[in-house]
Amino acid sequence: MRKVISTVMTLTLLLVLAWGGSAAARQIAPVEGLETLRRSFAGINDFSADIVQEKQISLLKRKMVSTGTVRFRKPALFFMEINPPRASRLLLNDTQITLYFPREKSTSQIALPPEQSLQRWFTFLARPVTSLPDGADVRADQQGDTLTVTVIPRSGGQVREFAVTLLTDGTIRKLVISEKNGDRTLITFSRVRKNSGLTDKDFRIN
Amino acid sequence: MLNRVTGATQSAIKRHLAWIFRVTSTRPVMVFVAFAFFIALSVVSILTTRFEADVFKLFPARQGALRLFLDSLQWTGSANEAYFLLEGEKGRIVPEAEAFAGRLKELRVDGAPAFRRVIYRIYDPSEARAFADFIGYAALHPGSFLEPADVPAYLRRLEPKAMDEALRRAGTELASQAGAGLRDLVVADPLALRDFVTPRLKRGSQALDLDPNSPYFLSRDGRVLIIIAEPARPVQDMAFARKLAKGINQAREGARVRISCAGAHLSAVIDEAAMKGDILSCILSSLAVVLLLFFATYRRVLPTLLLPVIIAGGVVLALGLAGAFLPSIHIISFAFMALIIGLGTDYSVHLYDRYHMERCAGLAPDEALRLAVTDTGHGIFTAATTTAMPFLTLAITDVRALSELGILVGLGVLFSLYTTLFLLPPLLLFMERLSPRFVYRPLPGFGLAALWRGSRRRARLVKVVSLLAVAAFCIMACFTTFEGELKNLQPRHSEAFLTQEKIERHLSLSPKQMLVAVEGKDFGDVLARGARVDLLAEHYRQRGELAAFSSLGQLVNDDAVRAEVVRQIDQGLAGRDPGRALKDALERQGFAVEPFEGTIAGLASLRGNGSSSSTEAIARLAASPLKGAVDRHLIRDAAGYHLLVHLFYKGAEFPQDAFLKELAAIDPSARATSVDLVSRQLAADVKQSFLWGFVIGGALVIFLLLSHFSSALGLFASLYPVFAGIAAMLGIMAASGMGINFMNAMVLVTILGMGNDYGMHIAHRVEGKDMPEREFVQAGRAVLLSALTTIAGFGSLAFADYGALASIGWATNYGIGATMIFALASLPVFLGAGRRSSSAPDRQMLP
Repeated sequence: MRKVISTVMTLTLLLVLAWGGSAAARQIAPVEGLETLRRSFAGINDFSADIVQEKQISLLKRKMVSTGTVRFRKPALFFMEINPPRASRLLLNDTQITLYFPREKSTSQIALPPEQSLQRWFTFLARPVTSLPDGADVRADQQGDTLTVTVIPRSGGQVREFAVTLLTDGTIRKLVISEKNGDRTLITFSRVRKNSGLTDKDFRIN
Repeated sequence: MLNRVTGATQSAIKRHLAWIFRVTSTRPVMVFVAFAFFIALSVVSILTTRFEADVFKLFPARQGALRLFLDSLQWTGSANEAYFLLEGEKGRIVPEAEAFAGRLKELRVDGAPAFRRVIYRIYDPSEARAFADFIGYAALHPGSFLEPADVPAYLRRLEPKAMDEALRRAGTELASQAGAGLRDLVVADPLALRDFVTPRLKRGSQALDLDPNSPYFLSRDGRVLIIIAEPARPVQDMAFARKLAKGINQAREGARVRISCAGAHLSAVIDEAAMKGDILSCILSSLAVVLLLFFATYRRVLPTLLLPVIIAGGVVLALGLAGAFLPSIHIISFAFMALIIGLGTDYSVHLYDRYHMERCAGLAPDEALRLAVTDTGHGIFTAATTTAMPFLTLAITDVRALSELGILVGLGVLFSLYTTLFLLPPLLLFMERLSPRFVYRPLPGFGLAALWRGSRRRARLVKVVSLLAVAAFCIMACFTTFEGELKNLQPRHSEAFLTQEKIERHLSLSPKQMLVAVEGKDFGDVLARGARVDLLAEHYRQRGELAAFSSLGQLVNDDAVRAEVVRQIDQGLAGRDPGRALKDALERQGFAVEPFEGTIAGLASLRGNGSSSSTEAIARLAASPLKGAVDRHLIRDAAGYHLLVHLFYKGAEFPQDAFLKELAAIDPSARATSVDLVSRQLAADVKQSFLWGFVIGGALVIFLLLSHFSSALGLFASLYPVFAGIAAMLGIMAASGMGINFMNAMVLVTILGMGNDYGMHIAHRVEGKDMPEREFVQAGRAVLLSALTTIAGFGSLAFADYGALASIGWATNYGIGATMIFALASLPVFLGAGRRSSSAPDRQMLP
């Protein structure tokens, strides 16, 4: 569970960040794809966006559609809220995940190991990407003005791959998370606001 | 008969001393060769002696509370564990803990990982699947895991409307960003029946009072976090433990929060340097004071320099002999040999003082030395044996701390005596040859002549004051208490001790704990007996006498409760099919049915499902990520099953004796332990040991004194100051709020052995002499110096950080100081009275 949550959130964050900066519109290699994400991150102190999440889960007969928001602030705060009727809020503070269900008024916390901390990812992004990260394969496809970067973890976790789709002007369109059990999550982004001066209040979980 | 025995003893001692004088004055080279030979033998013995470092082996642990206490440390492995306490700002403490735990995991000793495991989080996410599997099992086996009070709520959750609500909640969880991780849990328990099971499991598995909302071992105020680490090798391996301690110190360098370390064995190593420094500074300061006193009084360099040789010789010979016969020697017992500095110096003082005085009076070197060795030597022989015997009688005790201490100090005293008798005479003769023109000037009297005259002028007043003072001290001594709190004996600034206190303050469920063990080979029988203990504990908890208790019975129902829960479930589900109801609810809420077939089948067979046993439930719990809860409460080894019930209480409100009585009534074979019970057991053992030591040692002292003196006055003169000194020591301790404890009780034996020396020396020299004032000044000076050197040796411990040593130091200061004052101030009048009333003043006194 730990790896799934942390990887989903981290990639969600990184891919959303990429939306603001990249302007490349050409066939790129995997390393270049990641470098595009890295460059996009530079200069961003915080951002927020609205999301629509569609989950196709084998436990459910129908697709589950939810709306919500995501927020980020440096150095290591990430917040994601799903709106009612399936309301939930999730806060990642470096390595600590807090999950809150308003309707049930229940809170649970999970600690990530240091190697999966948010700070660690930003340390990775502090220098140009010249090689692929350990433990994952990366694929970058371009179709017209749309670029898709797919990350395939090599570990034995539940996630099969993550795929982000961006327009050549750097506008992120969607994030797809595919699990080995066939479950699939699609998140589409809109109304992204960068460096709007988010405060602690924007990261309150309850 | 007694007279014959004492006469024969006296005669044998005289012959023995005459032989020593003959040998040391005529064959000094042979004496040195023999001494060197025995020292070499002792060194070999010491080098092959195994020195023990396990503090728990200092006390008798064949049975009782201490046995169970040690067993529980062994079972849980907590004796070997290291505890790291991080203190700091709330926001900083968790990242620092992560970083420090990472460094501990990477720490290596001799190329191998230093720790087998390092834990600081309540829940390891990598165990999510196993956790979900167990929760699914527990939710469908309410007979084993559901408390009877929760049965109605459990049954309500199985109603269609409640099922719909639970499935909506499951949908919300799946929709969240953590949904992928919660999938297994939703499949295993779609109706969240875990709500009725997990609080109980969490409560029962909690050993520390932690923030329930934090995934870390974090205190409720968020300012203290504990990391528990299991070293890869036993920390009784001192070489490993020292390297580990060094690595730990490096790992916590540069941390932005305060990190302190504790742990039963590791703390001994962490504190080792501080303790060594403490003892070493006591030894060095004592030695310096002793040498300074000796030199300041006698102004002779070589005899002064001989003192460390005598002390070292006494220690090495004693340790060598003890090492040859004991299987091992504890390093703490060895540390107490520092006391030889104070004790071993006395004989040189008396011997040299007499020699100096006789030389000053004009006697030739040989004659002066003969008198010193055979006459004063008789006094110091009796003094040494009366000091050594009470210590040596401690060898019979069960308490290893005392028996080893008794053997080592007793032997140390005897060997110091013989080293003095064999080395000092040849040295004195050598000095005569070296400086034939040395002029022996009168030694300082320290006002003793004036004291003698003043006391005798106001004899009646001195007697009355002395007796009144003794009476007053005896009355005060009646208020002496026994200090059984082991914590007060700890080093006051020990990191481990302070850390342990912080753990108790911030993270303990209650200040005190008692552990009850129900044991046997038949698991079912052990569980049933454990249930009766639970019931007893629950009565005490309901009355507020126990703050809480935890047991396996709180995690898993015993057979009787299980039968009752199953009966209620069967009754509540009469005419209902919860499996079918779940299937319908899943379809209503848009869930696929197939992934939940296991749960549907489990619910369908819920009614009438009384087949699972407590044994199976415990086995499932032990195989789950919650196995720690089972490990805390159930141990299986070659002896059978050990079911442990932890009782938490605050203090006096828990009537321990009444509980133990009731426990014995319901289960005569159940054992119990707690710090209080261990203290009580140790106190009883120590009291018994000291009683026997006091009786046997006292009898030996009286026998030796009777062998020395044939008059009642001599016996009185020897025993009155020591009786007064012990009364004064106890009285002052009572007045200053200091109790007798496990360690300073040893001073009673010391005072008994040493205190009579002072009176004995004075009586030996004064009684029957024509110039008693001169004899009193000589003997009194030696007694004064002996007392001061003893206080310097023992008394310096008063300023030690180690509470046990400090209490010994203070008790000695009071006891020796008072004994000396009573001997010097009172005996002139009592001995004077004896002289006046004696019809035959010269009878039987030596010489």
